[in-house]
Amino acid sequence: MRAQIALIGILAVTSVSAQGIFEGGARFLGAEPGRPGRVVRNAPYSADVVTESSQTLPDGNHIRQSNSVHMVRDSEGRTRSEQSLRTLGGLAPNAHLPQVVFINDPVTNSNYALNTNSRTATKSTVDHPPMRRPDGVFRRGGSDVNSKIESLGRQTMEGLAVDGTRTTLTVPAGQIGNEQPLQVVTETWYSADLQTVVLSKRTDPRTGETVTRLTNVSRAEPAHSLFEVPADFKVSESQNRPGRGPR
Amino acid sequence: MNCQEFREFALDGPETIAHLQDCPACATWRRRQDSLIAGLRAMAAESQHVGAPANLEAKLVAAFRTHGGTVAPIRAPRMWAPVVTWFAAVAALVAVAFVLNTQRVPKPQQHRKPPAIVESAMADGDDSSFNSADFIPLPNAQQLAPNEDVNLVRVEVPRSTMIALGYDVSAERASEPVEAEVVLGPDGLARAVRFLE
Repeated sequence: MRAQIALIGILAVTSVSAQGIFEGGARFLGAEPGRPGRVVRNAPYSADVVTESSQTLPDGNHIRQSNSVHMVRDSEGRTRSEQSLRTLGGLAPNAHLPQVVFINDPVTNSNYALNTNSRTATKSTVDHPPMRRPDGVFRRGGSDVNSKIESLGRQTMEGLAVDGTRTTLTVPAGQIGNEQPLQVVTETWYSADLQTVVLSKRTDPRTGETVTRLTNVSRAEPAHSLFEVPADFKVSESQNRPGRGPR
Repeated sequence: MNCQEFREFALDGPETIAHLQDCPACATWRRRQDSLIAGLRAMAAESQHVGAPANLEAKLVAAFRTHGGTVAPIRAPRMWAPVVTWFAAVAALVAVAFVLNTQRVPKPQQHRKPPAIVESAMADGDDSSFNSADFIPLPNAQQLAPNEDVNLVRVEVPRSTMIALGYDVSAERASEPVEAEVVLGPDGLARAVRFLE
């Protein structure tokens, strides 16, 4: 009888484990190219985009996180970004999410999301749309009476001439229940040659400091094959609907 | 009389006869019905001589009285007990696996609205076309500039993830999976999320 019970228990655990309940809290379902941004031509480069954030808690504890994306752009404005999804901003802690690659080809108006683990790709064909400025997720343009913008001059970073700008946004006392005014300071160093930000640093007393920088910058023209889906990938059409990303 | 009325109330009468003359399909159906009825009646007639043995009733009554008016439950021989136990256990496991699998496999989503971000891209001219109620900016995440690349990934996460974003999730369902779409910025960082259930 004991043997029977033990065997039934083993079968039960095996069955439940096979369903993925104990896989670590998150499961990758797919990736899909979203909305392409501004197309920049005649400014090819490749670089690692490294983001590091740190926060000191009131009890002295520290939270540090980092993320890296390998970014490539050719003279035609095609872009390729390779990234590990890691924890997805804390949404998927302890998850083993795959590396994904996003390719945006404005020449053919085709975008791809590649799952390098499953060797699958999702293709979407989207005309480049007029830009939107929705609430919440995207920044609104225009001046803010509580923001101050100042120039930081010119420097050289990663062999590039970059122009610095500091934007200080003041949250007035009482606006979010704060006793004293809060200041959110963002510094950006922009390369006119690459038409991209080489370094940005944001300090917010609520969330700590976040620094994003380009490293290992190369201005050589990247290989065209980087913007093509490898021949052994299985490509499916996205048709701009969810649920059809690479599995 | 139409076909439905004929098949529901197939009584003999002038209307039925008229319908059978006008409708070959119902005429065929009627012939099959008549054939079936005739077959059943023939079988009943052939079985008339078949009956229970004359002493069966007496034996049953005697057995009933021997057990004090109660019929003892029929027990399966003990040799069958392990087999029945195993069969029940395996059936239960299959049922559990089926239920879990049904819950975890993403449902076809062809009728779902496109992601709001794509919907926004496909709309024209109206800033309000982005349903900001769909995507929730993640705490501490920087807002995106309008001209930045965005991409989407879909993951399945525990419902407990929703608690940190202000959703009311019961403790019983905290470990259940929920599908989420996450907006990634050009730096690869998650910026916003929406849950699809």
